[in-house]
Amino acid sequence: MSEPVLLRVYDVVAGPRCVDTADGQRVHDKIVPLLRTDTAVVLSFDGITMVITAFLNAAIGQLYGEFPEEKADRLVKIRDLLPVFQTTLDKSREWSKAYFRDPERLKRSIQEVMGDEE
Amino acid sequence: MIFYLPNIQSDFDGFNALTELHAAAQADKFREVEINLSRLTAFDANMCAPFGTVLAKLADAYKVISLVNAPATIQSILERNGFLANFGWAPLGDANPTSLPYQRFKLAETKLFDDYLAAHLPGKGLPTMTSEFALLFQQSLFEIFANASWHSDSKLGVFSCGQFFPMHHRLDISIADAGIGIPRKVNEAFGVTISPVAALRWVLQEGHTTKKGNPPGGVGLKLLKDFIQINGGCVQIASDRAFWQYHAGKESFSQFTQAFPGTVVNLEVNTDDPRIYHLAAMGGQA
Repeated sequence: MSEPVLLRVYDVVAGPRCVDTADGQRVHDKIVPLLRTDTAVVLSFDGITMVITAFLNAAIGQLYGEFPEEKADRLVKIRDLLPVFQTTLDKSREWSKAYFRDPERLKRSIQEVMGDEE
Repeated sequence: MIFYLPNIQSDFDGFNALTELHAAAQADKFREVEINLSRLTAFDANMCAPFGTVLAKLADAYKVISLVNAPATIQSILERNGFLANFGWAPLGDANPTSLPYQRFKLAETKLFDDYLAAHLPGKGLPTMTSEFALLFQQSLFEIFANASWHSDSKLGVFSCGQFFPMHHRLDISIADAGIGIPRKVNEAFGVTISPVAALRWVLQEGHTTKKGNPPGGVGLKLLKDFIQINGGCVQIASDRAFWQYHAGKESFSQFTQAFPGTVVNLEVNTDDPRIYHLAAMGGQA
């Protein structure tokens, strides 16, 4: 098995602020080829001072729609994230997994609302 | 047409008046829209964000807008935050130290919004926060901006404006987009026809999203709601015909007479608040 690859988020987004979905997409696009070859990624948030959900959804969350949950969890490791943003990361992963496990759940939910209104 | 603008404050009536201005001007057969400000005795400066959104939508529909007969006090409010400079008035040299100036961003300009907050939020009366809490408070404002840029399909950008009212112990920040609005977005995304209020109510539930094929994102409201409940402030969302307000631990929904042409999030902070905000007081999480 190959050595894990260290990916510095700061280098990919060219700065300390993870506030842009396009930047999140760039991080995602760096991860995907590695996961395709079963290579582990260590995503370092060293030097990052702001992170938002939309960035994490783009960078990490959408991986759960492209790879098995177990594989994405096993191969993508996070480090150096400011502890204050841990809940944001956990929520992003949790919601992403729930969404991709059952993409029709939201449709059923909204149809129930429509049923209630009729 | 001539439209006499009534008072515009950060409440249901203020937003409703803007929906009526938009509907009346769009329906009028003439291109010229004269907005007469002579009846104004109050205009909350932060409401320049939704006002600017309406005017941008009208301009995009080839309407020619003029703002006339502003009473001196109102003119001063709209000049000092830079709003009138967007409509042919001479810009004022000195920015108002109590305002987060009116600014229009392109959807991808999240980093410019970052600079905007860094430049204008300090010194506006926010209650004392630990550095961790301040980070999550700022994160919530980014989540709102990101939602506007990611979900709204607003071709005209995102509009922001804020005002610290030292005498009234309030800080209001409004972030608006000129997109299709949450209700239409929900209906189009899922092929349903539910009412604007039901759609807004649905989207405000945790884990719900209108962006097909993408995991749900936070709308930045969880921390803000917890904060506002303790702080005694208020959060509002106006989108299409739907209006939501969270104040004193209670939420309420109402329906406008006409559609607002986009979505606005308005945050009102009580600045007469001696508490020190820290994560433990919020259950330790955002």
